[in-house]
Amino acid sequence: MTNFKLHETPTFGGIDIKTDGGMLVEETGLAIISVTIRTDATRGFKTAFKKLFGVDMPSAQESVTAGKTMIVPSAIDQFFVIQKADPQELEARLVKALGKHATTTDQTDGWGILTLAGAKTITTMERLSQVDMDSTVFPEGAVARSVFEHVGGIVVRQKAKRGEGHRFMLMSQRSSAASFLHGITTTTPFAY
Amino acid sequence: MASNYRLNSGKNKDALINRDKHLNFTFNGKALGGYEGDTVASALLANGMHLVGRSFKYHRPRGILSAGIEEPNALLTIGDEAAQDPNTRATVAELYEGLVAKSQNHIGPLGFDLMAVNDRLSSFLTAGFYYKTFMWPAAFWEKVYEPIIREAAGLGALSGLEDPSKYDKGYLHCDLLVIGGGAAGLMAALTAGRAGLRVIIADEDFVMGGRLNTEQDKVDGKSAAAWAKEAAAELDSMDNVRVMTRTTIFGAFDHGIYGALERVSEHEGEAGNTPRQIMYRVYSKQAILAAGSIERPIAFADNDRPGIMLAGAMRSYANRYEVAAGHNVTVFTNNNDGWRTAEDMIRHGVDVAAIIDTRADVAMKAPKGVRVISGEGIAATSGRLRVRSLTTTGGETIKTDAIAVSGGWSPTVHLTCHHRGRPEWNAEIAGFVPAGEIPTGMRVVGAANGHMLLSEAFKTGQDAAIAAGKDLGKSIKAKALPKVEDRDFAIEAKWHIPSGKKRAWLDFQNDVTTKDIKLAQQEGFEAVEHMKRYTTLGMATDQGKTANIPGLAVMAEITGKSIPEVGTTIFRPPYSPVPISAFVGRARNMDYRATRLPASHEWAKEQGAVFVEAGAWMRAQWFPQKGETHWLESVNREVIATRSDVGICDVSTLGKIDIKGRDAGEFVNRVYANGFAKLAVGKTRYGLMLREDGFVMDDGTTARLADDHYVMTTTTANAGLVYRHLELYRQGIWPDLDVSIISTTDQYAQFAVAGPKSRRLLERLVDRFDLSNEAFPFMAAAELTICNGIPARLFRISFSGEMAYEVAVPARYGDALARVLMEAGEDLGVTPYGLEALNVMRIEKGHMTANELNGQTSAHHLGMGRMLSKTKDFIGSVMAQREELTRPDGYRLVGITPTNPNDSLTAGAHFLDLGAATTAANDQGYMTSVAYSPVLGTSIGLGFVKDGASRMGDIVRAADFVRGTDIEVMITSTHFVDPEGARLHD
Repeated sequence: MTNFKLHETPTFGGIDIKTDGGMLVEETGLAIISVTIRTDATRGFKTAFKKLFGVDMPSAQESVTAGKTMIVPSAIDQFFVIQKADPQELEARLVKALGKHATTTDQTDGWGILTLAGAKTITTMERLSQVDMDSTVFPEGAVARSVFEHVGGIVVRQKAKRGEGHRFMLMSQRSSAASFLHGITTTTPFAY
Repeated sequence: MASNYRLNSGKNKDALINRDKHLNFTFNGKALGGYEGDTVASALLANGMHLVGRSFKYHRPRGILSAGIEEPNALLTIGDEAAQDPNTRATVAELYEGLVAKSQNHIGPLGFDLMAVNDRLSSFLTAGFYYKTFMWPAAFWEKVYEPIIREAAGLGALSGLEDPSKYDKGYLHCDLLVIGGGAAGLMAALTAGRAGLRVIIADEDFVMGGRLNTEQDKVDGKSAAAWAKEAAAELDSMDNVRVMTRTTIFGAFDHGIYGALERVSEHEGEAGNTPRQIMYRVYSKQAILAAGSIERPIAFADNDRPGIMLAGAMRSYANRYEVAAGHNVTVFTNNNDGWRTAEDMIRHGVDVAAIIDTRADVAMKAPKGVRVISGEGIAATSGRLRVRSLTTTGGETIKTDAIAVSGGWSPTVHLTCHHRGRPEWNAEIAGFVPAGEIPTGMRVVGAANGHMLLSEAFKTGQDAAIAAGKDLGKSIKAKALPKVEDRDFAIEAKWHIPSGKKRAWLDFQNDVTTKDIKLAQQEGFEAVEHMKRYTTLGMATDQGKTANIPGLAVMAEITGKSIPEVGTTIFRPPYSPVPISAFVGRARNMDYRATRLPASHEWAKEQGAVFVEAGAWMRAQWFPQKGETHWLESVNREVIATRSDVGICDVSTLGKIDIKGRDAGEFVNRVYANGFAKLAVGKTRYGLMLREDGFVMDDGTTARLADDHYVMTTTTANAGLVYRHLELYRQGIWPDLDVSIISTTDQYAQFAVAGPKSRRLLERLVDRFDLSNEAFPFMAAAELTICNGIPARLFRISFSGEMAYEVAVPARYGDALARVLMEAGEDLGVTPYGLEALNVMRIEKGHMTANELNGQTSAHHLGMGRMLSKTKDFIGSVMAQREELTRPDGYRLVGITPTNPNDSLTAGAHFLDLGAATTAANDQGYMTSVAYSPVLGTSIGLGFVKDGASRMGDIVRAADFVRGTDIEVMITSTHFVDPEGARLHD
């Protein structure tokens, strides 16, 4: 038996900053399992999905929350199931429930998750992304996979807490996370 | 503040300067004062500084012509040293405390410019003189003429220092973009905003209102400026409306996208951390152009003296900034609007010497005590640094210290031309109005569309907003418009007054006169585009905003054509100059582009690694140790240590694609050229991937981890390309296959552990896993755990040619794994190695990389023709059999060594037979990769040689025409080290 142990390094270094009108926090401990519908298995998948999560399968542009699980579409017929859990355990549960209709892949370490919130953060988003972030066209739960300051990522509008104004979940791939984070922290309200 | 030109002492409540906020600034080192709300131009005029610059070519003394973006004369350098900004229009630059302004384009004091000698030589410097004068001797152009001309030409200069300001960029969205915040624009925005549309209204000025702020009109019984202020405040209070002052919409692009430049902190001087400017891409569903119109001058003899300005500008300075352009002004006009200047000057207590109207019969009532001279023009002016008097065409000389000129107003059609819209002539206003292919979704209102009356501005603004709403599915009802009393706009075009031997200026910025237009016509450059290029009319920073129409009108007169027959040039973005810095935004230095970092990056930094960009990745190139003075020392040490003990290298950058599904095996078998159908679970195989045209696309290893689960690796460079390739076939070509693919490149941190002691090192990390040759032989693959339960993938594959493994863990453990590998292998002599050592070892082993997979090589070229399966169909299978790709005497990948071991090989060198002439026809191939092999003690290389397989041992030349080397080399096997591969299987 080996004596060595490996410690974890958060994607964004565990960043947690709060400024006037803005908050940027890395969400750690979340497992991300990619679920892809098998060929010609959409009908069965929808049923299994509803049975497992108690909600309908979302469209490509909206996320759904089922209890403490968040389901975020990531591509055509593909979803990220995000939950505070051990990735292997979560994947095993998903395989058991959905495996007949879908394949799964652990993506927990492929992505980092940030929460960006606060009244001024809409300014940050309009400096980073060409996605229209207005709440009338990008309401709570809306999802977009786009480019943020030249770095690919996913944005989900979440329910803002009291006084926050806006709240977004941002996902960035791990290898480019430093650039992604730099893009955010050099804009309002974190830089000026 | 001591000034002879500031009016009213603050009694005008509609003025937009704040008398309570005094600001200090300097002009050419002279300390001056102004007020908050001033522009640099208004403050200079208030201080009696009428001479502000020198003209481009003749270095003529120049004053302030306008009060807006169209200004051709008052171009100043604002700011100091690194922050200096040349060619800034004083007429739109906001005054701030401590502002430093300098005039441009003169040698010696502004009032005594030594370069003014050019004006004496003007007979030789007419339009086109460059093309005629500097023809011979031909060699002189580059060596003599051009350097001198370049030194003398130009206006302001860049500091040459790095711009210390910050810039940013962003994206905005709206239902309706309103361009211009004057009467029409405000009305459009109010109409749409009240109806709930998402509106952006942008104006280049720092106050909304346009000419409502500069005229003495009444709107709904209150001053126009007060109405504008209330309208802007109402818009500001709407959540669905974004009011953007200091913002220029500079270009209309495709699909309702507009470019916008917001000057965020430029007006604050030392902005600190705030961006100076932000460039926005505005996505609009509909747009309303309410850009107003630009007044133009009438050309007459010496009409460029300081103190001669546009009539509307003179009103702006008086009404908005409470500044008189002179104490005794004269109005010269061809339209009714010009008369308003006289009225306003009188109202402000400024003497008006006369109104000179080119029209013979004018039914206008002059202010009491003001002379009217009808049917005449100005024949001459006097005053070197400022106008002192004028002489009418009737021969009367009038003392005056300022002349207000109005030749009519030209609609600001620029943005309507950005999609090739060509304006058409409107004789009623004597101006061009938008026509042709204006941008889709754009409506043009107010003066920009030739509606010169205030009531028309309000009405067209409201109507356009209603129409835009209808297009957006929103029904908007018309409401009562503001009550206004229109001022008659009547014009009788008059473009210039014959100037005899004197010069009458059309384009102030480029020193183009009516004589230059005549010269252009004489030389055959009559077409408007030719005229522009021959005379330079309408070029430079103002793009002829005041000059174009008078210029082409003069051409029409000379040629006996109508103005519509002559036509007009059209405009392209940007509407006004946009600094390159704004386009760049934050993308400077290391922010130029995003980078990708492997999980061990921080650890590698701690080891002092030297990094190299590999695509977007930052990869450790080598790890210098104390005492090493040359990179080759480090690399040689890393190679020797790996081949003798054990080395570790972060190979996370290689593309990793998980392929799953019932048909995953079939899918992999189709995309690779060699067979994969029989790859067993727990095994890895080298795969060669072809493009559809039969050339090699990529290579890598693919492991089978389960019946329906494969893990494909790609080269770092082709990771994205291969993924797209697979996705295309999965979705589009073989949709019936049950296959899913997903990139796991970022999911796993992967390390090569190579060298004879690699097994011993890994044995210290794995959890109860047999790494013996028997249990885990060469090309084995497994999922296991390491370091007490961390899930991992292990592959026994080798790029170095040594016994080697690649171990992958979830990326969050990547940094830790690098440290643990070093700690666990300390007694084994473990050494981290970088990309350079990896490259040396792969060349020693004859392995290919992107240098060899360059898009022009086939499997046969690479010596892998036998790998192409004959028992299955695969991508590129047919095209790969083309004669040229398979010919036996075609290129073959070979090894290269210099015959003199001390010679260095160079990549890119071409092979030539000994004694053959150095010609392309004799080319035998080229070198793709070279390295110094510390194992062999000599330079080695890989390359393609025609019929290479049968030329082993041949001596040829390797000629490098770039580096100037030509050496003898021997053609060898590609396997320099361990050709039998024994080490791999140990």
